[in-house]
Amino acid sequence: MSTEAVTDSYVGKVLNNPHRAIEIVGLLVLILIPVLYPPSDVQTWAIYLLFCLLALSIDLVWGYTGLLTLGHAAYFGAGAYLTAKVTTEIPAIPETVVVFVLAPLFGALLTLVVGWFLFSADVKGAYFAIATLIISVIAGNVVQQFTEFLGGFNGLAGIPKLSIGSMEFSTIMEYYTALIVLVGVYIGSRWLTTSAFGRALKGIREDQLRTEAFGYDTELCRLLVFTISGGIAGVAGGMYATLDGFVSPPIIGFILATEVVIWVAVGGRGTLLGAVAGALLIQFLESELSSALLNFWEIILAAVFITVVILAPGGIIGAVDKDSRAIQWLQNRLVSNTDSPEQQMTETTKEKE
Amino acid sequence: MIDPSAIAVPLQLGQRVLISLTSISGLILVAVGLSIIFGLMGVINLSHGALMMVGAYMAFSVQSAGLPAWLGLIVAPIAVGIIGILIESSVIKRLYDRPLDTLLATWGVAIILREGVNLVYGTDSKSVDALIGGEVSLVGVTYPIYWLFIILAAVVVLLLAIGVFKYTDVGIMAIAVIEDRRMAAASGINTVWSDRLTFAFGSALAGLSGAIMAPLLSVNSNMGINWLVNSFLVVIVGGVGSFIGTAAGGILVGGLDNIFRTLTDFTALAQAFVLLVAFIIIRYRPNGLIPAEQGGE
Repeated sequence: MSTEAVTDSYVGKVLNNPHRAIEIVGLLVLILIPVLYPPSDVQTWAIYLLFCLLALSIDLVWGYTGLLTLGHAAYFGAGAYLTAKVTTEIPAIPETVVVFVLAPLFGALLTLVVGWFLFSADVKGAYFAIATLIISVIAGNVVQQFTEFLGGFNGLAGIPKLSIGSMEFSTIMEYYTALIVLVGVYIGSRWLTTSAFGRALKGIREDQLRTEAFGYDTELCRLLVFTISGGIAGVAGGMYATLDGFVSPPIIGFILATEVVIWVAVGGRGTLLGAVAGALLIQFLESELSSALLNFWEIILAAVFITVVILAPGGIIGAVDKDSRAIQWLQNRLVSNTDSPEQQMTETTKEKE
Repeated sequence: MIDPSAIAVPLQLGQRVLISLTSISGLILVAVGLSIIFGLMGVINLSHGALMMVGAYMAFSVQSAGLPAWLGLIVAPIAVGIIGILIESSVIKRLYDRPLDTLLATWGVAIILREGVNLVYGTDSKSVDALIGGEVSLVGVTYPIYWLFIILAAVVVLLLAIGVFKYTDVGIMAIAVIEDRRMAAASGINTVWSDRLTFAFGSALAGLSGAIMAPLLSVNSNMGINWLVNSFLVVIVGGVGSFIGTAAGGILVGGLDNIFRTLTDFTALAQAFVLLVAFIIIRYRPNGLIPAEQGGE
């Protein structure tokens, strides 16, 4: 009886805040990855984490502010190409400075310019999405055509790994560096989105005019969040360059940019957790399944994406929200006798975040 | 876009003008379908480039089956029009009140079309022979006859679209449904099929444009993206909802692109300049060069 009550209370806690449970379990799994997998796979997982960072940066702009960006790979790629050029041409600058200072600054600078250009003309909604798509197509063409300077189709190789002093990072260190950056950016983004600034962003997403009427400078807010996300994309790209040792056009073009948007949509936009979960889950499934499914993998993923867009805009994370039907049903089945009916009433009527 | 480097040097002014005319015509040809789907219906259709690409593959299929080449110009619009009906009835109809979600869903459709084509035809580029071979001498320069055919096709397709929505019952009903859905339904118009046919018509024109442009391009599953973004530029700069605006947008975007290409060897830079100019125009004329009210349907 008592053990049942204990498990019941655990189940109740999990069901009361399923997202927190996913965060904790997910973090534990990610910490254990180097124990579970051989080093070659750990490097793949480190790259997964960097794409999670890109997904997070897109979620800030799209999920929270409602600006669908189809060009964020351009800033990721810009950070990667900058790192590749600077570390190979100017070895005097330490790699850590390039990756953690110059790359995010470059990404932020690009988004600042693009954002200033688009927001001052009040480009929003579909026009914003199309403009960013065009920018990412152009970015992809630029790196392909500047064969002398940026390597063209062949890309740039021989990028040194991160190092402190004379000690070069091992794969496991690189993995944990990526994980620490991801967790840091995740916590920072969580703080940002729950702050007053974050509420203004959500206000812009729901009704830009009304938010302006409340006295918010929405142009500045949009520019700020866009620039922050550009910085995140830039640092992710810089780390990618040192991790892989090689950059090439696929990491900058529209295909990657739209692919990550699909991950965020399937995971659940506007939750941060959904961006990371979607990015991890889909990359993991792709590596496991795409050799068996070939082109069908892309087709199945696109079909899932269309279905999510039409039927479940909240994505996977939205489906396991505390107030979602699935969790409510589980709660009623598993822990109905521990919670009083009044408590459940207040739970269900509570505002969704 | 048409690659000027394929032409024997040196380029004279007359030749440059004719090349520009052909590339402008190509742009307008591809953009008319989007002008219907995005301009009139308001559906942000990111699968437009993929539909055009499927049209080009239809022309390739007809030719590789040994059938006469002109059959491609019939098969492509019919096949892509049917695909359009399938897309509308499965995806678009659920999203008419969620424009940004249509954008996402049609991107998914574009991926399915792209990978479907890769699955059927393989990933290598195909080439399609021109319907009409031969060259003709015009203002002192030799010029492929097929390029003149493209200019003619752009004019015909543009007039066809204007004619359908201005003078045919079906077209006028479609406009009525778009302007006031409830009123149109109350007048006994089947709004569901009106939307479906309008979307299918736009798709069919995309397929036709793909089949017509195929001989000038390298036909592969990724060919649609550049045409997609250029078509959106043309429609937005020209004026959403106006076919005359689409023509004006095509002249502006295509003309600028050709001018910038004479200044730089990098087409990506020319593209970036065109985008910059387009945004400056949209900034000062948010409704485009020829807005729908003045341009009419």
